[in-house]
Formats: sequence, C-alpha cells, structure tokens
Amino acid sequence: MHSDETTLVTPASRLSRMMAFARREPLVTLCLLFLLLLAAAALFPDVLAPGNPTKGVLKEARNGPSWAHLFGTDAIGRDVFSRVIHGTRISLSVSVLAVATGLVVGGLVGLVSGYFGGWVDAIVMRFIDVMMAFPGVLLAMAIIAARGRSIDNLILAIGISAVPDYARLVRGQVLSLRKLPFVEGSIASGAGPVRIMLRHILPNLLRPVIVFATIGAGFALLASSAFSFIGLGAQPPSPEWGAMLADGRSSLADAWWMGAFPGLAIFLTVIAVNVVSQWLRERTQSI
Amino acid sequence: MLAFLIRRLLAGIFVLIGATALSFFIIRVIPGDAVTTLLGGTPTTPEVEAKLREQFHLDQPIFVQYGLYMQDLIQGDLGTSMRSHEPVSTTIKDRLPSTMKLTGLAVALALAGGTTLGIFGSLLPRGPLERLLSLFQFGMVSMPSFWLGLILLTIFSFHYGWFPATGDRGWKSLVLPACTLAIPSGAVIAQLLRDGMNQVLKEQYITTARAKGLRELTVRQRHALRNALIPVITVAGVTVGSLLTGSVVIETVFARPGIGKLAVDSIVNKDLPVVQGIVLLAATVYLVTNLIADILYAAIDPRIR
Repeated sequence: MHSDETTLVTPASRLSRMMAFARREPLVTLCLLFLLLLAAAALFPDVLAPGNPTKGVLKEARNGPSWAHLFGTDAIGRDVFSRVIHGTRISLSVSVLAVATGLVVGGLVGLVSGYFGGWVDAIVMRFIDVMMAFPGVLLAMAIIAARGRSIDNLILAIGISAVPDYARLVRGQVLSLRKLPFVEGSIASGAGPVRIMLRHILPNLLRPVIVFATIGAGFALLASSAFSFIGLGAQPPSPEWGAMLADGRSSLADAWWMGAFPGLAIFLTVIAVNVVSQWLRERTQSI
Repeated sequence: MLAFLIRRLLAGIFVLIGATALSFFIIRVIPGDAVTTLLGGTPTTPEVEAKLREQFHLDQPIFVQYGLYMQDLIQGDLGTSMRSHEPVSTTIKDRLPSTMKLTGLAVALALAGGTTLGIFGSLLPRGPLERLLSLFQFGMVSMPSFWLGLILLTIFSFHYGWFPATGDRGWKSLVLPACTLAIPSGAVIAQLLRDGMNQVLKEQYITTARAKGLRELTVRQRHALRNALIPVITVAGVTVGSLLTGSVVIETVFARPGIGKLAVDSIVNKDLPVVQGIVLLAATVYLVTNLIADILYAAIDPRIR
C-alpha cells in the first residue's frame, strides 16, 4: 500500500499497473468490468437497449432468442434483452438505496450507542436484539404489509431490516476505536463528541463498513428481487428483474427465455458483487 | 451450565416479548387508521365502522391496545382474519402441516448435504476438483432461490416430467421445493465446515495428534471435525430458523398452499391480523432454534458458558 503512494503516477504506469492487477486477479477484474457494464446500463439504458422495454409487437410474441431479439420476446412481444437492460436501473438502485438506508440509520445508531456507552448503549442494544429476533426478510415483510406494496416501501423495508447488522458492526468498531490514544488525546484536548465522531472515528470506520456494505448489496438484490417476484415489490409491467421472472413463471413450459435471462442477470450480478466483496475483505484484513 | 441456561432462557423471553411489541407497532400503528386499511375502500356504514373499531379496540389508546392484544395472545388468541372471519390461529393451523413437511425435509437435506459436502471438500487435495467444488458452493450462495426453483421446475417437471409442477399432493410434490429451499442453506453450511476444517487442521493439537501416531482418519474425526462443527451449529441454527421465511418465496414458486403463500396472500389482501400472526410465529421459531443452537454450542464448548 505504501509503495503505491510514493511512486510517481503517469498514465503509462497506471495502465501497466492495471494490467498487472488483471493478471494477478483475473476473476476480480472480470467481475469489476461486469459491474461497470451494469452501471453503464443503469445510467444509459436507452443507448444500450436495442428496443422498447414497454411496447411490444404482438406478432412477434414468444419468439425464442435470435439475432433480432438476443433474449427472445415475452408474451406480448416485448424484447426481453431491452427489458433486462432497462431493469438494471430499477434493480440496482433499489439495492443501493436499501443499503444506503440501512447504513445511514444503522451506522448512526451504532455510532451514538458505541460512543456514549452506558444506559444509552444498553437501551439501544436491547432494541437491536429485538429487531434481530426477526429472521432475514421477515421484518421487511411486516413493513411492506403495513405500508403497502411499492418500490419506495421495498427500499425502506429492506434497508430497515439491515439496520441491526450495521448498528452492531459500527458499534463494535467505535468501541475499539474509542480506546485508541488519538481519540483519548482529542477528548483530553477538549474536542466535543460531534467533532470526535466526525473527524476521528468516522474516517476509520470507512473500510470495514464498505466491505460490509458490498456484502449487504448482494443480499439486498436477492431480497428485493425475491419480494418483486412474489408480488410484494415492483409491480408489472415494470422491467425489474424479479418482477420479470414472475411474469415468465407462467410461460415456463413454452418460453423459458422469459424467466431465464432476468434470473441470470440477478445471479451474475450477485456473484460479481460477492467476488468483489470477498476480495475487499481479504485485502482489508491483510493491511 | 444451569446458570447459563437460565440466563439464555430469560433473555429469550425478553426478546420474544419485545418482538410482539415491535410487530404490533409496525403492523398496527404504521398504516395509520387501521379501519380504513382493513376495509380497503369498501363502502360501509358508520355503524359497521364503529363496530370494527370496537372489535379491534381502536377506540382505546395505543398502549391499552397492546395490553389487550397481549392478554388475548397469552390465551392463544391471535385475533380474527379480516377476510375469512375465522380465528387467525385456525387459519394458520390449517396451512401449517404443508409448510412443516416442506421445511422439515429441507432442514434434513441441508444439514445432511451440507456436512457431507463440507467434509468431502476438506478431504480433497488442492486442485481443480477442489476449486470446482468451492466455485459450486460460491455459486449456490449467490443463487436467487426462486430462480433455482424455476430451473428445477423446467428441467425435472416440464422436461422430464418426474415431479408435479405445483400443489401439495404426496411426497413427489415435496421433492423439488424442498431441494430448492435446502440447496442455498446447504451450500453455506458446506462452505463454513470446509473453512473450519482447514483452519482447525493447522492447529498444534492436530500436529500433536498426528505425532502420537494416530491414523489420519481418527485425527480428522475425533479431533478436527468436532472443533470445526462448533461454528457450524450457530449458522445451522440461523439457517434452519429462517427456512420458514424462505418458504414464502418457495411456496409461491411451486404454488403450495402453506404458511408462506398465506403470508403473501394476506399482505396483498391487507389481512393484517393474519400477517401479524405469521410474523410472530416465524419470529418465535427463529428465536427457539437459535436458543437451541446456543445451548448446543455451550454444551459442546465449555468456554462459552
């Protein structure tokens, strides 16, 4: 790590370093490139998609994969490939926003709880214990039941159900950071709690939190597409991947491509995210 | 050990009571006026509305409502379904056997398959086969369960016609959903066990055991496996406990009339008392399996107590 900072960075050396990285970590490179491609699809779906995601040509309904329609067409003749590309934005933003919700709320709770300790910590942690009594997505299900089925509620529900994990992670980190000399030093020099939390503790939290958030992103994608699949998230005709799979379920016997490609999109994205998160985890541990 | 047991049990009861409160407040308070939600836009008279308000104690302050809810709960009364007007406990009981069969088989498959694959994986020498197995496990962990279900359906039901595609009739209709539910959990257990074995085999007491001249199989069975199993117990507890939640998705894929399907239908129909009953049931199952895992853990590893 330290050698990176001291070497002079020229465009040529940067390129050769990237090539060296690609040779050393081919799988991670491949996954990062795939995620970059997904990001492009999410940002510019109209440029990348060859057809219209919502309007179909009925004459071409249920056509198998061909050069004209790479992923085939669905029951009302919409191009599945275009729908998958347009769905990227929905599926990815739901996951990212859900992680962000969990991270901000859980992180704040953990930060305050770990920093102040005492009875604040005791009360907060008992509450977190209670939240942990709900397995995985059950809490999310309760929230969706209460608030109704929509994308916004899906984001909120999955985000909130991840709050205990982030709160516990951040609290643990804060507890160990608080005892370090540089934090005790700044307390002694009269810095207030807000300043210490923002200036000294938060920057040191970033690494473990980023690793954890990437793991959370893969899980959030699985959970959100599962909710959309069972009809509790994005509603058809939305090209969200889980909702597309639900659409393809009824045509499984005669039009396998309707479900296969959105499913593959979810699967590959989760794998890419998990590979990157594992690589990040190993990297942070070795430092 | 007894002190540990009592402490864990008390903590469990506290969390369970907290869970009833949390689910009560999420489901009853967030929707705002519950009567409007419950009626779902159906035209009604003020008398009907007032009756509903009384029935659900909505004319009382929220903490009184919770107290009354708890009073009913202790007597085993989970409330009344808004759709069928049957007691929630009856509605759940009707659907329970189907889900119990599904999760029971899935638990057995996940534990048996996961430990077998994990031990097998730890025996493999470093090489392509070992890498292939670890890639397979990695893939299964990242697999959306509903997609896996649809793939199994396409292959074994539509293509070969070995198993029925939907419904709950006999053991044949149980195979595909149970496998779908078990595979991701089994993969997690296998991966964990393999990592654990590799970790434990580096320990000094393993070297000692080998130096004593014990056979490799004895070293692995008596010394390594026991220690590698410890973290697996905790994860197995969590996995088994969340299978009930997993059944929500699987029962939708295979159109099985179980608790999971009931949960989805009740959310769509805004039948909140039923949703609340299921949420509470799933949380209780999860808490109890985790408690059992904790106790097993402590029984095996005295350091925990």
